[in-house]
Amino acid sequence: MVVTSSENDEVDRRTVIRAQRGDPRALDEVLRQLMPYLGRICGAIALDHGDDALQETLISVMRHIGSLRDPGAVRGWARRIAVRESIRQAKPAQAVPTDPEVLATTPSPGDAEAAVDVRDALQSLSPDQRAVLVLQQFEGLSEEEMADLLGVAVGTVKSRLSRAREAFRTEWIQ
Amino acid sequence: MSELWPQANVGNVGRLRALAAGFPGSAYTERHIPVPFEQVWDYFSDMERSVPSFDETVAEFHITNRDDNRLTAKVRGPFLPIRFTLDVDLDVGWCLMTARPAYYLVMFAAEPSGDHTRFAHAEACNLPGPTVLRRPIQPLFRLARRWLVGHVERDVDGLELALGLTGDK
Repeated sequence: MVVTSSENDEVDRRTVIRAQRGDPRALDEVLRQLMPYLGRICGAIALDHGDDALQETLISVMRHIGSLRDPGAVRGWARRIAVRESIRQAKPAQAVPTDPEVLATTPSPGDAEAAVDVRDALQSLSPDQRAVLVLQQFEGLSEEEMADLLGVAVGTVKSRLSRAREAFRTEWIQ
Repeated sequence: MSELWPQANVGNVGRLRALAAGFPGSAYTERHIPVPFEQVWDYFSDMERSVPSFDETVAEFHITNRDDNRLTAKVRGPFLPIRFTLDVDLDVGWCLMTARPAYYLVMFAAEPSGDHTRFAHAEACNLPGPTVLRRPIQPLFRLARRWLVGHVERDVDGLELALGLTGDK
């Protein structure tokens, strides 16, 4: 099941334009609106390094928002930064994924009975695998969109996604 | 979206650090103040009293309008009889002050750190407007930063003194 994260965290286009023109309150507004959304991405991909990944992501967003060509695309632009920063932060401590036999679907993020084990299950994946899992589960991105965002081939996304689902499921049912 | 998945957070101090990064030449400092957060923020948020006590460049800080968390303040320096206006966003652990027009901004953030307080302060020169017009003047902001770096440190030194700390950290 795909759970998208549209909710109420769309950033108003006019606010972004004001932020690009150096309006301090608008910049702060962009920050406050993006923080929960980017926090979910950084937390799920970088795990224990999530706070550091989020901090570096927000700094990068503030530094470079002036160069964003389409103010309406700020969310996707920031998501790209968050995913890459999360992978970078998590890589030194990445776990070796399991090599399971089980083929199954990924548990929904809303599956209440799995609450305690989500972090443990994610811990068993590599940062690259967590990234595709998060982008599919939270964002509903296609394999082509994920490949573009991550700068890899579609085939690479497919194999990472397959391994992520399997490893996640294996950890989940233990 | 589920709250069951790990969620990263940076708090008010991280928010300020990111915001300051949006202004080239901003000066940022962060301290661990060995005083409970409530005590620090109670003192700070009484701004008519606190700001002149810790900021050497402010002789008077007078709040002229208050609308929930948005304040307007008239500020006078110690040497010239000129007053200028600040728009202030004040919340628990957060303060963003913007001069009119927004050529200068002052930021404070605080959050509990055990029984103590993590405190951050930043100031920046700013030129609102299109990016293409702002870029050429950014080297001047970096020059101003030389003074700002010392100034933000002196502000927090002053705050610690006002809170009864002697400076023996």
